[in-house]
Amino acid sequence: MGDEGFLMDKSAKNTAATRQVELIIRQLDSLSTLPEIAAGYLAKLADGAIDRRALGEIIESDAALSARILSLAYKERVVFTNDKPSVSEAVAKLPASTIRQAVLSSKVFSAFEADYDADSARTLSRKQLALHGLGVACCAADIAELVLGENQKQLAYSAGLLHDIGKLALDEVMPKSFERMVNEAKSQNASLQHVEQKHLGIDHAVIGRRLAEKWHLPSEIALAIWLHHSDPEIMCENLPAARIAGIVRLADIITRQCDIGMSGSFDLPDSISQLMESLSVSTEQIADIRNRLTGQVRQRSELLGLDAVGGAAAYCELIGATAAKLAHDNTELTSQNRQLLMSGAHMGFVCEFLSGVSAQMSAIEVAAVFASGWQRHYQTGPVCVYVQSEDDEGLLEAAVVDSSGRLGTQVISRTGEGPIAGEKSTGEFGIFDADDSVKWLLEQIECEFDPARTQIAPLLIGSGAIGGIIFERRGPAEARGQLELFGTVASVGAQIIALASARLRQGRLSEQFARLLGEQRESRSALAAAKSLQAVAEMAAGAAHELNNPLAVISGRVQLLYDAEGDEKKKETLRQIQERAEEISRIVSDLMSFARPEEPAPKTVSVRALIDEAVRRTAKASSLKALIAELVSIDELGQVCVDEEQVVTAIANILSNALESYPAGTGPIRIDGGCEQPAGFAAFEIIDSGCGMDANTLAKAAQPFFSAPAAGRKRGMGLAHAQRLIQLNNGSLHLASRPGAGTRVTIRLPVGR
Amino acid sequence: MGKIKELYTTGEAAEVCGVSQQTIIRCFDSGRLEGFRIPGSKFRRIPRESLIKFMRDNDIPLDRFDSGKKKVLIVDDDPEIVELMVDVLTRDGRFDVKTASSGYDAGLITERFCPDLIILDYMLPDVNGNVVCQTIKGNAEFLNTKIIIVSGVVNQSEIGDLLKAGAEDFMKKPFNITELVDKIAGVLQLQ
Repeated sequence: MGDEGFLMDKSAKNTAATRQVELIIRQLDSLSTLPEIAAGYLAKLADGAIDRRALGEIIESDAALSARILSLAYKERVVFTNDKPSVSEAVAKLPASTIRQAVLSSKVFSAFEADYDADSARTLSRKQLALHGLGVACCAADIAELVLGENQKQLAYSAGLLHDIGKLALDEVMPKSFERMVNEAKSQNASLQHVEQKHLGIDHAVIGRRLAEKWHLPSEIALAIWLHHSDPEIMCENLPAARIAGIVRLADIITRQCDIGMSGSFDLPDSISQLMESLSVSTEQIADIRNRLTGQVRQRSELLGLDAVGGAAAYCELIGATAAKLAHDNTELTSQNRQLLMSGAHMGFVCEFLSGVSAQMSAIEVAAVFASGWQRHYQTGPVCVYVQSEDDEGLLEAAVVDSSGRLGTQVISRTGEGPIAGEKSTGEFGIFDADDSVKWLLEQIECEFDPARTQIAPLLIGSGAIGGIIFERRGPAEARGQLELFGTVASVGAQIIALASARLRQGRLSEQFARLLGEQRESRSALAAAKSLQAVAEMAAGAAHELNNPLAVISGRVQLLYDAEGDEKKKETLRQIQERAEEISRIVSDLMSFARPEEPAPKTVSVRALIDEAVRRTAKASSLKALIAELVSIDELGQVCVDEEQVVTAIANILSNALESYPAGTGPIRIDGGCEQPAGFAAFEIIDSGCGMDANTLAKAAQPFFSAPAAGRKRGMGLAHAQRLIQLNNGSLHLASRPGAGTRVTIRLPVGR
Repeated sequence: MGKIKELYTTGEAAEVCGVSQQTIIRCFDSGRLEGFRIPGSKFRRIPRESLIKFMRDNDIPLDRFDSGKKKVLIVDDDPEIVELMVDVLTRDGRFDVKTASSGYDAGLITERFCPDLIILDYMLPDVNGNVVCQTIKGNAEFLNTKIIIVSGVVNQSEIGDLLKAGAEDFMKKPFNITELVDKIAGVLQLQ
């Protein structure tokens, strides 16, 4: 808004000044009240019991006190009716002790300055400023009642009262400069805001807003403080929430016109017609308000004792009179306070403990945080927090903090009989002297405890102890109430530790479960595979016997016929019959050796030799004169330890598969040893650029008798058999393929020693 | 053609004459059939000439007399396999063939026939081929009897065991006829 824009134009010098003012203001905890006002409320306080209504009236008439109470209301989380904060409601709802404390501890403006004189020659006295504030407050309340309704009246009143807290703050932190600026405004008939901006680069409206935010005053009030000099149109149209600000601005002008108090501005007050229009207030209504205003302010100021003669003197007298009462109150307060402080210490411990633990911590880690906190907050010397181990009933896990705060963890065997926290612990919280029943425990803790002062308390979940706390008593025994607090703290610790244990237990359970599931799945599939292989083997053995005899007869008879036959055409037919019979026999053999392969007889052999032999066999089997196989980096692969016959068969199977993936069945094939070499293995790839396989085919390629017709393979045993043979030899076979992009078979064989 | 046999055991003589071995032994002991005992043992041996004389004296047809052919015993429980092999070997002409369909039969016939070669199916219904192999090879009478195992099962380690048990060779079913005959000729060292 306008203020911000103004700030951006500031010179460097002014920017520095601005920063400084802001820094000083930021450190301001509260504003001072006037001695006259303090005298008034101190007298009332001295009378004995606080009359809330009377005190409330005083408070809501003084800006400093109002700001303080609203700020406290925020801290104490006071809930206001209709969400409309008011000082009177805050006073009604805040604890008496809090209000008393707030009022008593209010700073009193320059009370002890020797030259202080309420009616001094200062151009703008605090009294005049206070009167101005009261005037704006009363006026704003009246306007708000008309414009916004009864329930906004109090809020508008507070906003009016507090609208100039920026000025109060400036007067507080830089009284001489503030007076000079007021004088300059007066001599130039200027607005104080403009003079402030000129010298400080910041004005009381912005300062006031900062304070309001810092003290958590209600946002409507903060907005009014900030915008009470701003253009009414901007305020009302663009910021509906800032209608209070418009009301305060109107009240400010009316108050100045009525010559009530002094605001420090000496320019001509703006015309109110526009503001009246935007707030929909009539001239008659304003006149009415104006007529009542002087009387209202007088009433308020009398209440505050602003007109009392010799206010400072009266204040000093009262100080003396109140001193005795205060001394008495103080004793009471101190004992209450100690109680509160102790509770605070417990609370502080619990808060720190809870913020120190995280969901990922184990029980012993949580116990360690608890032990450290216990020592720090209760000053108990060495502390040991021990809990039942999750893994073993006979073990305890302990976090030990020695007297210099060093943390260690250890495992303790549960050698003693009886309850985990000593025989005195019976399911109810208590702090006991460590007796012989926990001797076994103390003996094992890697930290010295003074036996005469050692105390033990159980960590209870319900009535069962999950562990305990051992520490040294450093003060008198706890009162009954204190014991309860210790009990609460200990049970918080116990609960969190138990949660951590439960989480760990659950984690382990789910891990075990997952492992079991995995194992089951593996064993099930392995079993299924083994079973199916066993079945295949049995079937194949049976088939071999059953089939081979008829095949032998067919084949043999056909050969005899063939030998006797003269007709070439018939001879060809007979030859076919014989070949097919042999083929059937071969299939049965393959199936059998797949299902029940022979034990490999490994020996050291060079990869080169294996590949050469496989290439030779493949070329022979496919009746090629020479197989077009390009060998790359094969000699570097060295020796492997495998069953030569089996691995050669496997490689030959893969090679014939590769050949079959070409329409002409002639390759080329590349055998490349330049691939990644895992430790302990020699790896090479057999790569073709044939028809390749789609994902479905690829997935089933290594299953026996799976044959993709499109790939033109004759029999489905090749890859399956190859894989089985290589696996038998502790190697691995991996297939990668895409339709049209060829196939890459990666073979890994264990290296020879 | 194989070498002409010069000496006969009593079993072989009984087989050639078509009488029982006991009859041959009785005739040998009474001197009607001339022969000798192997020095240092009780084994009787009958020279070819005295056996022919004995057969002519007693009007025994000479057609069963050793023709110089190799005696082959085919043992298989599948009659068609047996028939096939008989056909093949008969057609070849170099073999004198007898058959058996069980291990028990094989034992009996071997005693009488004293085959030069047994073609033995490994999976016999009553006895494992392995046992047959060991029994025959363990008998000094059949020291020179060769064995070729035939089987549809092709487990290399089982084949190894068979060869250890005394089999000369192995033949897988179904077989190539030429290969079978070559193997037989090889084992019997025929030209």
